[in-house]
Amino acid sequence: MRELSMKELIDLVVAEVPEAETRIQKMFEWYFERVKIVSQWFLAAAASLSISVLVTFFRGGSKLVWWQNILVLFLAFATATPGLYRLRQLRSLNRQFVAALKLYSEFKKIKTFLIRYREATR
Amino acid sequence: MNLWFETITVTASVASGLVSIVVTMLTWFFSKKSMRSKLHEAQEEEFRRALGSDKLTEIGSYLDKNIGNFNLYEYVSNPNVSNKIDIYLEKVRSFVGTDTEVEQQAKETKSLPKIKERLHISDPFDRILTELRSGETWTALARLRRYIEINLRKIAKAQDIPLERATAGQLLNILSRRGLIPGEILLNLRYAIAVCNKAIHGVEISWDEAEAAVLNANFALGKLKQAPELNHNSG
Repeated sequence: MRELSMKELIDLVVAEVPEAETRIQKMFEWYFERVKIVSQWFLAAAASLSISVLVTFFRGGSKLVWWQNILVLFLAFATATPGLYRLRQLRSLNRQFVAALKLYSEFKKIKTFLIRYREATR
Repeated sequence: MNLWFETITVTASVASGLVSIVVTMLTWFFSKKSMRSKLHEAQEEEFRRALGSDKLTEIGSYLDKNIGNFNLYEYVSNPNVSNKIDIYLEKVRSFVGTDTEVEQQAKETKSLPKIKERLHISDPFDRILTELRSGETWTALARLRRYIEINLRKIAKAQDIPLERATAGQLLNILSRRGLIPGEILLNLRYAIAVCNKAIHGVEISWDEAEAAVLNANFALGKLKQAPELNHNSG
């Protein structure tokens, strides 16, 4: 799911969706779980790559030369990057949820105007 | 290890690593770029023009096309975006009024005030009536409210009362409390403003109600113009 836009919040108000606040909450819960899982996948893959290299390196049983070790670590870092990016997005999700409820209630105050406008442009 | 196999795995690893980093950076870069372009489109000047246009479709399309394009991530992560949206929403809300405000004002339109003297209907009232006849109720009554507001603001300015940001209803209340609006026209103006507010908010207005608002405003503003002591600084 991409982030909810203001236009979609306006659409929710105009469509007079019953219990819209509960639906927004459900949507955020689902989104949170999905982003969390995807980010965990990336971070787990990165962690297993780097741990396997580091463990074999320190045990002395590694058959890889130095640049191959660095290459695998680079690969682990590269795998972790999208995961960290997603994790950063996740941090703002609570604030996004509060903002969604606040803006929904603001748009609701001018619902009659918004409905009239949509009728005029239909 | 086979040299070919080694070369292919090394190249594939480096390439996939680089692709992963580049894709993440591009995602970040394009989200920033899109936020900047949306902020640019939602310029203050354009917003003022939309609110000053007296057209339902222009104000609505500004909300849809400019404000509506921002997403919640941009709203919470960039203070410029959240400030802009909050200010715009507040201005639109104050322009169209809330359900509660309009419900309160609806009481004022229940009894039709008397027009004590039949005045000639001149511009812009005849233009507003023409718009009403052509079915442009929202535009016509938005124009009427703006015209009333301009005239009340002129009186406030002539009396050195700083009311730059006050709405038509607030201006009327303040000026009447100061005794600057003759009692005989206060109800007429209050009625006209209340009907305009209802229409701008999106409430269905009957032809009779809309026409009565124009006639009441025509009478009240005509009377105000005949009181030179209220307009001596207005030019």
